Amino acid sequence: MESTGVYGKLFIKALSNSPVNLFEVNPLIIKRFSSSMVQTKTDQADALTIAQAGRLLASLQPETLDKYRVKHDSDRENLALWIAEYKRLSSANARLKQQIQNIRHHAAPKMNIILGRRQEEQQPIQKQLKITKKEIDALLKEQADEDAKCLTSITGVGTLTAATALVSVQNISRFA
Amino acid sequence: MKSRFTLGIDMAKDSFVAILIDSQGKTILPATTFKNNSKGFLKLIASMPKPQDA
Repeated sequence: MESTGVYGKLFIKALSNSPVNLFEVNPLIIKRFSSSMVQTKTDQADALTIAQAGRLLASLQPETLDKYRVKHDSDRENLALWIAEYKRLSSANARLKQQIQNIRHHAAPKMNIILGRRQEEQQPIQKQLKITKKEIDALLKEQADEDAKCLTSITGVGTLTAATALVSVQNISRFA
Repeated sequence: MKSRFTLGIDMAKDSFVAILIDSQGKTILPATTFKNNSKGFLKLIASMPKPQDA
């Protein structure tokens, strides 16, 4: 499989108990190992390119292919979803904060009414942010693997940084 | 010797294309489109050749 973000997640989950080895390979690596000279870009041609690249990788560089091994990890999936939620809330909060600052510069007599409305809008978002952060803290503690333990042990790496790195990078050994 | 097969998957939001090749690069299952949902996954598994066919 080629890395596609979230679209392959359900497929990986569906095959988590099967004996097949699943690999989600960086498109750049696929291109490098593509034996096809044909530059046609159709889904069918792409699937063949991916299969051929996977076959070559397995026989020529199995250790490279192994770095792209994927498996369903429900703890990690939960963490990824909560991180995405935190980012959404965080950007909504930042946008409102900026708007509130701008409103304060207005000379309109009824500026306070609009200011109050925006502040009211911000309160539940800030509350949700706190709840989400607590959830992420708890989920990060539940991640039992070495990567999680290693990241959280680094001084200066907070919960959010560690959790974001874990869900974005997935397999840190790819960079070893 | 145990033969190895490679399934190439081009994943998209609603569907995916799968193609199965053997260790020589010969196509075993031609490129086929499946829905990216549990029904599609089951169809893919059902379309896989049985060990004696492969």
